[in-house]
Amino acid sequence: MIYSYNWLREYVADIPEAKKLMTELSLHSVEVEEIDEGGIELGNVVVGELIERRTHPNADSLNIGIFDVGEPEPRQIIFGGVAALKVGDKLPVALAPTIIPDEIKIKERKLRGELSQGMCCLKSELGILDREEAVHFFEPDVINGTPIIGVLPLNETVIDIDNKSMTHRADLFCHTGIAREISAVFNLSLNLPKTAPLPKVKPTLDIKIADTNDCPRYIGIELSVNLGKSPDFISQRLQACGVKSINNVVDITNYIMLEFGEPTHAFDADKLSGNSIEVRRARTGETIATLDHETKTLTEDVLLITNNDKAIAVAGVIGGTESSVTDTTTRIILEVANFSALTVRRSAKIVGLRTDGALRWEKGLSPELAEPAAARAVELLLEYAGAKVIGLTDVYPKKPELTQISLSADYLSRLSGFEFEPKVVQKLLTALGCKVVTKKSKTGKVYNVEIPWWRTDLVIREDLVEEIVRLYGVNKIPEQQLIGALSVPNQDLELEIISKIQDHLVRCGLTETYNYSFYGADDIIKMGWDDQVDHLSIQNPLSEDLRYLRTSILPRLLDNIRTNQMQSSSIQLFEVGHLYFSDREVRQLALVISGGAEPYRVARGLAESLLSALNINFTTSVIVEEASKCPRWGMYQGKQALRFESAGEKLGTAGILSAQVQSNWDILRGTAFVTLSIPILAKYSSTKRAMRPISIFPSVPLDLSVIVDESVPWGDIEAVVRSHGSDLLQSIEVIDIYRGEAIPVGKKSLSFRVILQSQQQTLEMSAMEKWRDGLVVDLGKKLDATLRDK
Amino acid sequence: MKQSLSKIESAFLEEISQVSDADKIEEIRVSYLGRKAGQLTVLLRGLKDLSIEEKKLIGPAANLLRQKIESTLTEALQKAGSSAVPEFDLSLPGKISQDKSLGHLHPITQINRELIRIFQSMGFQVLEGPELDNDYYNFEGLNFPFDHPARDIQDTFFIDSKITREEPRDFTRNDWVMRTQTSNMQVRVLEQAEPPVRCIIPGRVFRNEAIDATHEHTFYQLEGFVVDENINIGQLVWTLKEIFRQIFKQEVKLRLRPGFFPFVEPGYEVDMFCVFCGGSDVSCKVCKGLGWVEMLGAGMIHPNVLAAAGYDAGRYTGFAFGIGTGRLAMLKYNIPDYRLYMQGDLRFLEQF
Ligand SMILES: [Zn+2]
Repeated sequence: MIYSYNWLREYVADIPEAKKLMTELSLHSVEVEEIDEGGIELGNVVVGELIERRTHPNADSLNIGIFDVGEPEPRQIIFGGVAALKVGDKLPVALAPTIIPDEIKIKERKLRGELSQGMCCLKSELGILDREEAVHFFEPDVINGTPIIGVLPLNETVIDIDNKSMTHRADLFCHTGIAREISAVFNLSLNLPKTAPLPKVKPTLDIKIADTNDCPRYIGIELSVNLGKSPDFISQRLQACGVKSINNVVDITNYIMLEFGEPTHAFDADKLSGNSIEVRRARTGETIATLDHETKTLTEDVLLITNNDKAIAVAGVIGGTESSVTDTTTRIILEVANFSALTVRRSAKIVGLRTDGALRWEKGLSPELAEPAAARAVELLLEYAGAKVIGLTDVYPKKPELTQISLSADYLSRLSGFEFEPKVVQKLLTALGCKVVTKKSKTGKVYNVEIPWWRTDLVIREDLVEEIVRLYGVNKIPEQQLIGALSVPNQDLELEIISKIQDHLVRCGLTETYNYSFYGADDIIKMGWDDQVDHLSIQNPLSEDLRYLRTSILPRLLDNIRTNQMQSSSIQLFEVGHLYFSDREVRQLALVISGGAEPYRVARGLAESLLSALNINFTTSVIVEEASKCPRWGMYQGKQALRFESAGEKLGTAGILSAQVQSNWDILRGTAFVTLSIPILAKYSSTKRAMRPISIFPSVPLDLSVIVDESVPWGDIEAVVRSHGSDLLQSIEVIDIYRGEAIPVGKKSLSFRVILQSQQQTLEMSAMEKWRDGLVVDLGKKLDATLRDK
Repeated sequence: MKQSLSKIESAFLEEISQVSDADKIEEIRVSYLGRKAGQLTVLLRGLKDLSIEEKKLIGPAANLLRQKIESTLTEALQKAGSSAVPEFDLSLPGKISQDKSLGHLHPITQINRELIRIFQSMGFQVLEGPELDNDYYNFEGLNFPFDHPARDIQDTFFIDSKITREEPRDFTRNDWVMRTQTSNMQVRVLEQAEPPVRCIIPGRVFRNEAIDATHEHTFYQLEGFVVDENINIGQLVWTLKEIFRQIFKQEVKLRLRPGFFPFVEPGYEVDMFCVFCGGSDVSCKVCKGLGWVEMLGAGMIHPNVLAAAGYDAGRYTGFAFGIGTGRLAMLKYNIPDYRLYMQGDLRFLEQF
């Protein structure tokens, strides 16, 4: 909200200078975003009167004006057609040479051959008032040549306070409220406007309130008025606060809101029929044409002001068009009421308007506020709108009791960490308008505090602690070491596993990415998945490509490959993040290897080395579509996947990205991927490690090359070797796969190395040869493999 | 065998001491280490016929001798100023193994690890919590009543699918949201625990906001809270100061300002005095020379939150704070644009 500094000075005569005000208010109450001190240098912009005009001989769109600017000689100034100027108009004229805002230099110069000795200024060019593309015209009695700084509220200092920082402070959304706060923070005397009591006149309205929870109070004042212009002080103050001046009656209602924080509304009494006002909920489907030139269809959540059962306003939000005040209005009903915060908030939501009024109501205002606001409104209307009070009706069934909070000195020091002297507490709370009675009890002092009606936010004792501490100065509370019983909490195993994974993969050359938790339907299609319906979706996504919650990290990782692939011939990325399902949320690791030699073997190798590093006992198997139904086979090349499992439970899979999906994502190079489930990894990651004895006998490497059919996978060969195994076999490793010269078409040569070692003795050459010969026979029998000649 | 080793050694040293030109040195190299008939080579070849015990004995000694001969030869060659020594160039770029370089941890992972290390040393538990959560834990239990204006502070992504998760409590509404704050773990943790509790929640949060250089719809926070019998504001300040002192490795100045967060009372915005320029440099990217930089929100846990966790009124007090880890990393690593975190651009990630 924007506050006028001069206005505040009326209530707090000794108000600190702007900068100090900004700092101290920010430290003690609310966040001051900006103080705009005006400070516009307009010394050489004066009131000029157009005394003669003619068209420019060389340009149709330009005019030549002769202006009386208070100098001995009038000036000739060329002006365009933005504003229609006529002889006798008085307006701001910049006298050359000078500089106006935005560093615009005004010099004497010739425009299409005619001399121009200055410039006619628009409001926007001067950066003043509403900054419209229009000219500000002065009254005829303003003397020509007067600097406009003296006649316009140009250097009005305004204070901008962040609404969010005072979400809880309904009382601060007005000048008297912030003035009260300033007086408390700076310990200055406060001089709020004294209002006369409400005039004692007969009630003339028949006001019914259907539910006093929605509307605890309704004051309806009938007045005759003379509509016209507002006095300067009102229109200037409104303008300073960013509110447009309309006419004296409407302006006064807005003025009251800025002054006291009470939103009020004026109805044209002659457009109502009879004197009945009822405050009730709307019927579903009921409509109202509102001042924003729309017709709103309502629900039972909306609170209405009605006249003869016809909606004339959405309570606390916006008035209706039909009953609105216009130039011809002579009699009004002024509504100064109280509406419940929740009701107005719901109404505002349904009609889709968050007006300045609604903004204040939804913070919660006291029905007590209605009285001074009504009295002040009447006062202003009598004085500035020639009003006469015809009748006043105040329906106020239940005046609320003032809130009482009891705060013990012990709790105050326990929560704040500081021993406040009772007289300090007394002084600080009193400055806020509280009444404090200090009592002694068995457990120490207790402050019984009566809360003033305007502080609807002070409800519990912690609220009082906040008030005392902030007025005293929270930065004066001495810091204290955190103490307490030392305890060693159990840490989350999954987070520890993730940390190990990150370290392992980074060591192996992979780079970690963070991607959005969302993707779009297009991404699901590009993945070749058939399970869009199983995705959770966002009701209000920022865009369609952020609608669905991810059920895999892969789509965005593939996109990362696409965007990076021109930088590097091989890309190796991983991410650990959450996946979202209806019944659970789990963490996943995904890694992708794109480009380079044999990306699949690299990806698998990474996964296996990671599983070993996590000390997980695992097995692998190749699975195919038929064996396992899944809507995601489309992304696996050849609809085959390598499955990692531990104790029969799936840890994750590895695969080669299918050519189709690779091309869907515009990925240039062959790509492989692995996904692993973090909770399952955590489940099987063992902390037990037992060292195996190291054999004192030498190990012997044995290299073999066999020729087999293309269709024989390595896994089958490995299985034969392992089953042939015996205790001698330590490890197997693929060395090379060869196709081409000397190998028949449809066959391939696989070279592998086995390491043989005995735990009991040095391996005899004969034993080794026997083992090898037996293996060759086995391979021949089971896989039709032949030994390749060297 | 051992004796022949020492014989070879003394003979070699004798010979090498008498020569100084490169050709002669090369001749000596061939006569001892030559592949075919070098004296030591021949001897090493003979090792294979020995018994295991002998191998164990002689092998290492023979190897040692070879290394000694090699290094003596190199030294002699250098003294001789021979061009036979391979040229070396210390200015060549370093590389790790053959064609491999190390990978990179995301900067958010790095800042989180730094914070976690500090907090763990102070006895905090680290949890992450769900990112998709029920309205209760994200709002209602944190004293954001349904339909309350306080909710407007946080633009929320709502879920329109049905959620059927098993949860520790029954919810009044089956409304689910992408968590807008890591504070969603306060009630979740407190309702399961018995104080003293010290906990931090580093994690990802979401707001339905248009993105620009300083705003992301997906961003990173670290929530921390401490609940015990007598936790106070003074301790909150001390703890935060200690954390920032550790992060920036220097003394820091903090200041608190009143701030509104429904789940704390009193609530504060916490500023740190600029550690980069000391508030003296108008061109400082962090503070623009203003000195104070907004770092986080904090406060004393609201009694309604402690009640939601099932604690008796007044029994415990606690403090909570939320650090924007993405923003902190921006300050620390001089990152100009928040969006870089989520773009997967290797030119960015490989700098960390
Ligand atoms: Zn700085």
